[in-house]
Amino acid sequence: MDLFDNMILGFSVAVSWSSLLACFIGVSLGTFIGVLPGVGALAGISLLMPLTFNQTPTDAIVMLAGIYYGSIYGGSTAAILLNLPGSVTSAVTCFDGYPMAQQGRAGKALAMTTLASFIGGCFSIVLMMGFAAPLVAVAQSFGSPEYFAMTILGLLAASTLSQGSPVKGIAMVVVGLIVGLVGTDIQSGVARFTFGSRELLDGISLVVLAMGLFGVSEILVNFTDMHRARSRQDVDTSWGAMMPSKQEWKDSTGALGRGSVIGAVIGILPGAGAAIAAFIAYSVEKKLSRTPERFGNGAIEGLAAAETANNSAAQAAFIPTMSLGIPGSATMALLLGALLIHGVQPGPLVIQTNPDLFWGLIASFWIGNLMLLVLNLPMIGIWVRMLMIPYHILYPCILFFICLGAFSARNNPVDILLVILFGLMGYGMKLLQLPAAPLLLGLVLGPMAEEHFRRSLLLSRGDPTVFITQPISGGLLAVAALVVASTVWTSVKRKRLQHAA
Amino acid sequence: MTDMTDVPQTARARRPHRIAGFNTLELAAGLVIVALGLLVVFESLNYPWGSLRNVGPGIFPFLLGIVLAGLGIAVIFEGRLSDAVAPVVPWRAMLAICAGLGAFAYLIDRAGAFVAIFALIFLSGFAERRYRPLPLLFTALGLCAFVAALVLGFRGVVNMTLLPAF
Repeated sequence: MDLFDNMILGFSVAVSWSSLLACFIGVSLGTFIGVLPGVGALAGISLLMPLTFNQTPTDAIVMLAGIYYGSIYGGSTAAILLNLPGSVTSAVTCFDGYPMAQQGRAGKALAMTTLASFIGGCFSIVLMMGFAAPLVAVAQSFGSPEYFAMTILGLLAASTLSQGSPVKGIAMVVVGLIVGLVGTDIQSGVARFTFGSRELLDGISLVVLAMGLFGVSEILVNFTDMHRARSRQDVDTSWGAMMPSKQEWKDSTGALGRGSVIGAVIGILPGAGAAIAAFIAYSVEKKLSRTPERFGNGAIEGLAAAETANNSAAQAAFIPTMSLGIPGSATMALLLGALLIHGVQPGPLVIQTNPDLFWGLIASFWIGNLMLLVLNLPMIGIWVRMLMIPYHILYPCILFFICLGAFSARNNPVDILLVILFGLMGYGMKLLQLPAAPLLLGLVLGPMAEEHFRRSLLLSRGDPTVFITQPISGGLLAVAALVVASTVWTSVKRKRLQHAA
Repeated sequence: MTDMTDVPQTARARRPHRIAGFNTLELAAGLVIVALGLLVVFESLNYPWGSLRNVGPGIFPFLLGIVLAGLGIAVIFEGRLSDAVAPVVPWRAMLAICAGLGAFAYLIDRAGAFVAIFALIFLSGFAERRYRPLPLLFTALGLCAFVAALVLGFRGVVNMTLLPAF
């Protein structure tokens, strides 16, 4: 069996000491970041990315991926204990998690989240193992027009399906594409949008941009909108108090299964992401339930559905990112950017040229999820105490890590000044309600989109209709147009209704 | 991944400001986008154009600039239906944090990591309405110890001068 050989290869990579250590550091830092309210996975990954520059590409991606899914694990802790989602993905966890904590069932809620996360994660890993080969086979028949069309579809879907105005989302993707053009044009050697600056010839660094947009501006937003931890819940972390009862198990099994599937399907699609997956799984469970009035008052199956779905979606998001090279969210774009910095071109060829990286990553998912399970159950007490770090100590520390990361990337203090600039820009965008995540996606995919655009025209001898006449690329572009038209339509209609009311 | 629910309670109570039916905040956002788009269009005219068969470095940015300007106009018109209100800007925090980061950037090569950390922590401490010198001192000391361990323990991972060479 091919898959069997591949997994053996993967595990032989992932159980090396350096990979195990990378995985361990990744998932524990991720849980930590997830637990802390006000520090999201995006900020966390951009802060820690410079630390991975000296590692091998495999270790780097294993660690960064660990931070990502670890943060989703950890985000639920703050949601349950303080009714504050540690990250956006665990907003739905608050609905039933916090009432459970108020009823003195916090331990059970935390234990169920951990188990649910593990199950959801595992489901999507299996899916990724099965899906990788067929997806790659499809992708290998793609030429430049198809790639261009798929990039456009990915960018448009990701920017319009997120919350807020779809028009603003698309505008920010275009801004990102333009920011991605800054620097020397690879094909002609012309310096574009550098305005005479020598620093900009290499382009705008992904790390610096992400740290400004998601690190500094996040802190400023927290000062605008103070929501601090106030009350402290006492948690009984003994095994007896944490084990769900037989009845609770029975209530949750269906939710665990459905949550996994819903999460995986939504996770593969660009744009929707873990937060929406959790929300949909929760609503489905509520509709199916014979006692929907329990939802929102501490129904354990609601919690289980939300947590399996968000973790399943988080893992499934790796499928398009790794096999097609098209990230569906800003976090995936950052991981893709990290691979590019390491000189690995993600896409269908990765499985052939770097099989150790691809299968090593998948194997590390198994190990990482297991570590999270083992780490989280006995360590819940410690994470609860972490929640009590006051923000007036936390934010100077985050600022320091921003400086450390920005500086150590090139040992150039100018990068810190650029972080300030992007931080102010990010905060200005927040004020104007312009989303920052699509900008990052555009930045990462911009150079690739342009290259495929130019190559398609070259191969078609200057015929611009090639994007529409080729069946696959035409179909993808038609889907993209449909997605944009329908989201713009519904968003305008909704706003009209709101406005009339 | 982004949430738009950052509007504080106090701001939500205020009524949106409008100019001729256009929400002022959305108008500003749209105008910034249009201006950026036009800037890109004009700048891209300076780059070689090439032909359709051999696309030069100018065409792609030119197209993006036009699309962006169009989207900016769409944002302005969509703003007619928006009730967005500008939140209160925390000028004090913004100033303190920028000063702290700026000081770190200025001092890191000149005075070494220890001095830079103290400057960063004590300046950014002004972001809070209540200044707390003691917790800041402990934070700074802790971070200094951390950096020392990082630089001395993992040589090559982080290259920073801890103290200036006299």
